[in-house]
Amino acid sequence: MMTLRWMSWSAPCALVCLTACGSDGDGSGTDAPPPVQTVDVPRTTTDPLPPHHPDLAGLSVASRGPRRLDVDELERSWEVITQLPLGSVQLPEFLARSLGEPDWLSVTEPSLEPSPLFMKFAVDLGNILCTQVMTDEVGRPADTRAILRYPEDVSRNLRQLILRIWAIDASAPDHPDVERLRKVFEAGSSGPAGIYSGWLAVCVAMTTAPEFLLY
Amino acid sequence: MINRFALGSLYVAAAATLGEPSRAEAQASSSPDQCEVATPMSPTRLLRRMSLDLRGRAPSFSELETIQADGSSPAELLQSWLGSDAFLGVMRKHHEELLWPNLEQVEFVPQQHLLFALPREDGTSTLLSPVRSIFVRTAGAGNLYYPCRNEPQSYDQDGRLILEPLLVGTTTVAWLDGYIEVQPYWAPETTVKVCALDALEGETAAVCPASAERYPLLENSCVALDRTARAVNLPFRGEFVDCGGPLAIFAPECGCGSDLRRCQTPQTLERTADSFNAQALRIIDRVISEGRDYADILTEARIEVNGAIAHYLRHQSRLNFNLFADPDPDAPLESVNLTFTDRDWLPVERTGRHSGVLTSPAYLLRHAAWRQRAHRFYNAFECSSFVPAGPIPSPFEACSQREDLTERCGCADCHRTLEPMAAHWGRFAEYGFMNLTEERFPSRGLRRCSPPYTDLEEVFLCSRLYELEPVGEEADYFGFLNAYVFRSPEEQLRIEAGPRALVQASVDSGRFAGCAVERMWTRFMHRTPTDDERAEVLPELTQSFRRSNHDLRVLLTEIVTHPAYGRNP
Repeated sequence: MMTLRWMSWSAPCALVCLTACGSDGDGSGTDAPPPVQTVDVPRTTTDPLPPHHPDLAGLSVASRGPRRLDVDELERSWEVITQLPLGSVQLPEFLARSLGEPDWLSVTEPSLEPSPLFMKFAVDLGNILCTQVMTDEVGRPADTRAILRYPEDVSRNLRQLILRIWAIDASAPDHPDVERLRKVFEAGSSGPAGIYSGWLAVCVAMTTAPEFLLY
Repeated sequence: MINRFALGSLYVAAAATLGEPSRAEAQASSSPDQCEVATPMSPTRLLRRMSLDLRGRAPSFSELETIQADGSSPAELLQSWLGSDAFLGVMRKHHEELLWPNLEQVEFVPQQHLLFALPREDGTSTLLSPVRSIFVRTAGAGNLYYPCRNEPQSYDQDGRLILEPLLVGTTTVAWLDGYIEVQPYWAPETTVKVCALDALEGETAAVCPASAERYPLLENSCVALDRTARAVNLPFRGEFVDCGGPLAIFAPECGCGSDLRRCQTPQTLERTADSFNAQALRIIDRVISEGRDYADILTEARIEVNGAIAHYLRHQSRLNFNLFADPDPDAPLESVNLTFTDRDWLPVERTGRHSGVLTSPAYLLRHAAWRQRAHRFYNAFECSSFVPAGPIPSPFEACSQREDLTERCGCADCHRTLEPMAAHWGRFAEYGFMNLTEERFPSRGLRRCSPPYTDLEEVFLCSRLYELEPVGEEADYFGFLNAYVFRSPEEQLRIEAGPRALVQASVDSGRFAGCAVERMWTRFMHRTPTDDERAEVLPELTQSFRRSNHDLRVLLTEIVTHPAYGRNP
């Protein structure tokens, strides 16, 4: 969707640039500026608001702001979710600095922006830890597993993962998050390791989603 | 095993499916036409939010299952979480954001007392001080760094070191020692090899004891110091000094001492710095875990000491000319029987002007100048900043020439507030944590800082701590302890009272409580308060906080049970 929108905007722009270049190089020798051309740039508007929506300027209801997990919270949360002993997940200190942890000398405020660097890191971490945790779980009794608790019962396992990782109660029938993740599982299961690949895809998708990384 | 390409494809599939954040919860409780901002969070999501905020981690699966099964409110878990170690960890982090604990740039000991491991060709290593090597081994016209030989040290019949000349042609460019084996204080059950000249154990030794030919790189300093000493009728060259004091760096035979106690390695330095930082934060841990008045973190008398700190204070704190850290008579260590390797913490009851974290060595070292100390307090605990009222006027205007910053135009707007605040730290030395007691450092030092001096160290202390060379308007303060310069009689009382009086004024005025509430609200709401909240919510919270004698648990319970906290973002 984003890509299509960008292409539809950039095409007229490219046309304008080419036309402008052509006028400079026509050898007419005059100093007259090229004629001003207007481009119909698409605009985003918030109107109309949904029916009966109060005036935005008059809204005063405040809620708590969202924030991404910091490095410590990420480490401890991974441990709790995957039932590892506290302290098992330790990222190198230099990585913590790159991800916005202050050193209290040159940087005195934590930076908790969900930056592209953080997302790159979160995706890598999800890939690595999901693979490691699931590899470890394969040989363990089912009731001690976190990701592969009910690998054959897809709906049940998705519900427990949604509660475990996102803290969302998905027990209602046809819960939209279950259905969204079912598609991930099905797409992933076409991978080389069958349903194992499916659950790996679900694990990575869930631990790199805003529901996990923001709170 | 999944290959990376396959995993990448799966991730793309997952990301495409999960491209938008979940709206399932909002949809469950509101129609698509309604603004989601005001919807309350589900109990399980609220549990996650509270757990991350108060414990720094997601809730366990069993905690989530319990909430899901019985529909109980997450608030019921609040009190047990507020008493947990995990909560103390969160509070420690909060206070790190206020205090900025980092001592990396502090030179705890002079570089002559820093030992590094020199790898040898036989796979072993020898500890030596590279800086000391320049001063104690180099001879004649030599100007290079020479380590000791990788051979055991030999001695003459009188037990003195036998040094071998290193010749270039017929010229001696250095005198080389061997190594000896020592059980170091940081690992007394092990043995390390140390260059013999670095491991010397004497407690006293002569300064500048030999000719320029023997110690060429020490000579310039020796000449300058000898001149200074002569000017105040003190003997210097060849005099014996305490190897635990700052003049030891001019005494080549002052080594690291028994078990290397006067030297540090990069590893012991890191542990020492970490210990000082932990010492300050432990004051906060204790006040919060004991449920005491939150203001006690700024006034508490008790401090704790571990082995690393005790060792530093006993054997190393006086070594550096540039770090004022003499033993503190108001924080006696006699009862602390710990060696460096002891990780236990023992209490020390401080007296005098000591005041919570504000006079802890870590705070005083991290914020080295009086103004820095006051500024950090002003910002962290009164939520205030110094903002210039306008551009600085021309330096050629008369008012720009004033020495007193409270009178200098362009500076006065901030310094009229800052200088009186900074005065509260006036009896804790800048660039160190030495307690400048009246007994040793009277406010007027003309008698103290006049010949006859007891030793050169006293001359140095006078030149650094007293106004002995006033310029312009400073003339009226000739002979005063630096902190008293330009201070009015009322401000001098602040110096005498110490930081506790500043804290008390802040508590009495409500500034301390108001700031604590604003900081906690900002932390737990993940945003600054709105204008409405500043006008209506925060004053109520502040009042309640003050009524509870600054009980942090009462405040945090009110914040995380506030309706705004429990709404979807």
